[in-house]
Amino acid sequence: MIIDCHTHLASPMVLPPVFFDGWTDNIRRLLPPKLPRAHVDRIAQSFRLALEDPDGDQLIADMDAAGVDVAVLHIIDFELGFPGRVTPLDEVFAAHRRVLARHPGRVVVFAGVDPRRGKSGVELFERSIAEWGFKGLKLYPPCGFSPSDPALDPFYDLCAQHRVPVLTHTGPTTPRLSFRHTHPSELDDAARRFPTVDFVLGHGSVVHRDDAALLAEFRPNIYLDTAGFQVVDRQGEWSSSVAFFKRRGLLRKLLFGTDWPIHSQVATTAAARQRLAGPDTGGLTPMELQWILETNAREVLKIDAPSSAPANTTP
Amino acid sequence: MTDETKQQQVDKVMALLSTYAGRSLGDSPETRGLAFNEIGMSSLTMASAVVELEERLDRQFDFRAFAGVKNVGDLLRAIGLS
Repeated sequence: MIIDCHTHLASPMVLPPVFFDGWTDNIRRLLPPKLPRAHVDRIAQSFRLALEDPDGDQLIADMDAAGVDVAVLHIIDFELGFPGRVTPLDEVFAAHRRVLARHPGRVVVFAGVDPRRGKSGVELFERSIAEWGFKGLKLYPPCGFSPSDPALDPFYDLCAQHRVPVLTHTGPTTPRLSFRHTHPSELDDAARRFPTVDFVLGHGSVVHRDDAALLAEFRPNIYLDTAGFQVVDRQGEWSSSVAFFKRRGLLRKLLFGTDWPIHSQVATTAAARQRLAGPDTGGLTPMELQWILETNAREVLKIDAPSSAPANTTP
Repeated sequence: MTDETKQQQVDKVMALLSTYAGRSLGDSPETRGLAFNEIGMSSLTMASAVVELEERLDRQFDFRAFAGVKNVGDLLRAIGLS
């Protein structure tokens, strides 16, 4: 079994145009001066969401091509970050419930709820876990809150009660949002106060790597995922990162994630998995590879091991 | 597409990549094996190079075709020149 612990539905309902507007603002500033306007526009266009897959069919096709069995779909609650510019959260939840029903056993959904919603947000989260079969909490601090904000305590109580994990975004994102609460250290208070809840630092093996690694090394309930490693790999730095995690003894804290569809123009899921499993990826043994692709995520997500057939970890 | 035209197009790709590399890149197995990070190209400069190739080759590419492209040979394959 291979689990991609970090994906999103490829739909403007989930990843809204205003999110990509910020990326393209930044790209325009990074390009050389005096490029023709049409050239700049075409480059900016290439960084927008190219795919529309609201039913998750293309996600499943890409998973099949890559040998990935289960993907975790993350809902991001953008409503308070981009007021009036995004699809209402209840519609986003409904879309994910449809995808969950359409692809049974292939997707897991993490509910994204901004803690500033208060009691109604807590109720929505509880209902998503208890009634709709969602399996975790997704936090997006760039919308303007810390993952250690006490307003999240009722959510974490529910996570403890239902034995479901939390995945929180770390690192920079669209410049239209704040980077203030995106450092891994923002999570430490919550992880200490809720020791029975497992927390995953989204992109933790890629951004603020050393600080994320330190937390994962010393805080038992903090894990890291690989989402976005495709970019680091294209820069030629992924092999040395894997070697770093191996030397630090952190391969049991690392979860395979692609951030699909965000980085699918840098590497398909199949290429990403192939790259992770490649012979020059920091010298991983088959057992270590299985930890990253399957075992660690299975433990965090509380997914039982398949009863038949050995895990598929062949590159 | 004749072989000559194909080679001319490959030469155009090499000429463009030479501007990013800051040195002349001839078409050779060594050059085709060069990773983009070895010639100092980021994801952004890669996207810029693809747009410039669209202009130089008078073609339009689907950017998804460049997923997994890591070296010069991969790029030539992605645009049908290898």
